[in-house]
Amino acid sequence: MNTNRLTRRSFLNLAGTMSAASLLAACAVPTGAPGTSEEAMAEPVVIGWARHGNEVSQATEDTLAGLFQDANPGVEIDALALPWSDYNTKIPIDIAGGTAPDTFTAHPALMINSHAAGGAANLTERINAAEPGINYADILYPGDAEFDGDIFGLPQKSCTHQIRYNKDLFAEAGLPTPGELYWSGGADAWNFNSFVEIGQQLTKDLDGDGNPDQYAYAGIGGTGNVAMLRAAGGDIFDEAVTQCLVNSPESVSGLEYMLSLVEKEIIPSPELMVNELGINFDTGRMAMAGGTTCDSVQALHPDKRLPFAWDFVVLPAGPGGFRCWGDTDQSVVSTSSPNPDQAFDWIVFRASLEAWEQAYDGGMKLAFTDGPTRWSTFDSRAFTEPLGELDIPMIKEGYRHTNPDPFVPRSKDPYRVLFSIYATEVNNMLRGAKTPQEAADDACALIDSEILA
Amino acid sequence: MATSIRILNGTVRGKLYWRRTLEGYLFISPWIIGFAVFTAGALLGSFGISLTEWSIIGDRYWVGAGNYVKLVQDQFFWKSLKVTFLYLLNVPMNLVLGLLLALLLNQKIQGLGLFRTVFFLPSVTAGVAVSLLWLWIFNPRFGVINVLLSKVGIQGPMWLGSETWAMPALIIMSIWGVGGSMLIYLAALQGIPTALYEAATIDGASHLRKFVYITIPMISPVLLLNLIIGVIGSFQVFTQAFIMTRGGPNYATLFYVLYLYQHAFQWYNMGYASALAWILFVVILVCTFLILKMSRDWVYYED
Repeated sequence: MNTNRLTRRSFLNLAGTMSAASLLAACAVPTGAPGTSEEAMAEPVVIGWARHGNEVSQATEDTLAGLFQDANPGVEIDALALPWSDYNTKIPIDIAGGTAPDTFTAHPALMINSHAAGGAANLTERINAAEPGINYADILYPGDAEFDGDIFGLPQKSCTHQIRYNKDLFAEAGLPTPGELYWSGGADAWNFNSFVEIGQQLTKDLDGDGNPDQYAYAGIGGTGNVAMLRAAGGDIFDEAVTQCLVNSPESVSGLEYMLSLVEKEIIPSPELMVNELGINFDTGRMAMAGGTTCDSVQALHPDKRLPFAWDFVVLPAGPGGFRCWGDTDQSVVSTSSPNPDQAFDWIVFRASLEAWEQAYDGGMKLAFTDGPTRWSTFDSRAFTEPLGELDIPMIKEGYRHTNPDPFVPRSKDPYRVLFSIYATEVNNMLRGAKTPQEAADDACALIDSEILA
Repeated sequence: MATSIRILNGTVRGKLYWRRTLEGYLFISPWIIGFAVFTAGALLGSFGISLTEWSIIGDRYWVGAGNYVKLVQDQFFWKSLKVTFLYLLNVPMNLVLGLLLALLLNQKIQGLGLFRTVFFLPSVTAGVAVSLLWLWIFNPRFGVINVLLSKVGIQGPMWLGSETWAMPALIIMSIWGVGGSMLIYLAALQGIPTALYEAATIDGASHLRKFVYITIPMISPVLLLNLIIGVIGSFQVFTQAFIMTRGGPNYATLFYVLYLYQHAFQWYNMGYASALAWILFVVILVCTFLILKMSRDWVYYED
């Protein structure tokens, strides 16, 4: 018989003590102060690094972290890749709570918010001190991380939206490829008019049921239609982001052009959701499709290869010339980082050509997961060898034709403008519910009242 | 008994009573602390946030009732409220269909377990999977509904791509989840004493009269429960719109919670989103209160 029976009183005392201890432990703030003993001195400096991505991105970051750690003993990179929506919930909350990772990726909207909230460290002095090592002039779209003349980020990746085209379908139709048109005649050969002429020959009713089973193009959506608006000479905002330009004559002509593409069945109407029908680029039943140069190249990976030959081309030139959409995800150093020096060293490495080439030598192809960070990347074998099947000069043309200062990092609620207000009105127009002018006026009325007011 | 009464009312009662009370609170303290911090605290916190302009990562600016004033002037607030109220049409449909199904599955037929499982299965299927499935079903060209309609010479609508048909499509889809309420009805139907039906049969009552005068009153508390659950669930609908329509076309399916989510997690207007959440709370509270108040006239409690 157990004579040391636990009485209710002693149980409650014990439970109370444990609860209090747990509460104190939970509330305790780790001192974080480095110890003075040798053991404490030997502890590595851990730099937290977060980006949005997937399991492939996680592997990429772990590999890059390994390379950096080899060259920087005593520093450990704790890399974390989170899905897009989780990332956009976690990081802002971490910044607000002062617990943001030492370094993290900031897409254009997060960049401006982080900067406005004082969450991103000013890197100007560090960059100037490190020149010419960093060679900031070589960086793609430097304006994206620049606020009032100061720099708050280094590129993690830069992407541009171009058109992918199925070479086999063009050959089957006996048509010159868009790439051939571009290189042979530039804007004279690859433009809004030739796009329509070609498109009308590529939309086909293969089974004779009166409905197209193959479309020429699917690119009206997301940022693709902004690029088309810009190619037409229009835009969403003026340069100062104080006036809506969607209903300017140039923009409306761009919308009219998009509508004509639906009317001529070059692109499917928004209601058809053809992507769910298997009529999409990857199934070989879409001759051309919008896509980013960062994501689309994954189709060259041995595990994800498409069963046909394809390539990139810039969007056809409109009255406004060639325009692509592109932006940069920046690596920023958190102002709450206790180790900004090491954090900065990491993002310098992350943005360098050296990282691309070292990773490539180690068997990892950054070209498959991340867009170039620098102009020199296009000439590196770390880029040209993995993507050698593609027209690499054309990819570079896409970056060259991208507006280097898109409105996203400079406007309030940019994603509301892009993916809600503007996208809804374009859809209203394309499905015939509104005329281009009505849709444009309604978009501007909403932007004026909801964003600019 | 006399001793315990004396203890409760006498001087001894004070010491023992307070000790036991304290012990009781100590035992339930984990829940109380959890509720205070994670529910009540968050609730009050969100009210505080609703009085500010806050983008999560920036400073908070006190705007007082500014967000609530802005809300009244916000056309999308009214639009989303209207869309959500329109979706409430699914509630009576689901109440009736759930009851009909429960009546059918309350019969003694072969394979009853299988039928019950099959009808209940959609209720426990993940909302995202259900939404993706219905995206196919509603597809204007290859979806099963339009294919069947075309067999009888009807050209089906664009469903989710149509401003007119997107909401009816989502209401039709909601019927698929009727299994949840069906199960509750079924439990209630099986709790009705058979003696009532036997007595009615002896009195010569028809099936319809038995249904109207015995079944309905006896399951009326469950009807009330399903009504309240249905109304609250409809006010909180999100997944379908988020996955299938993103609030479109032309905001035809811009449900209230979707609009709230957009403000909170897509556009980072946390103060405004909190104000939206509080208005939703009040709307649900008022609706539930009204339903409960009216239920006195039609809900029968045996006791």
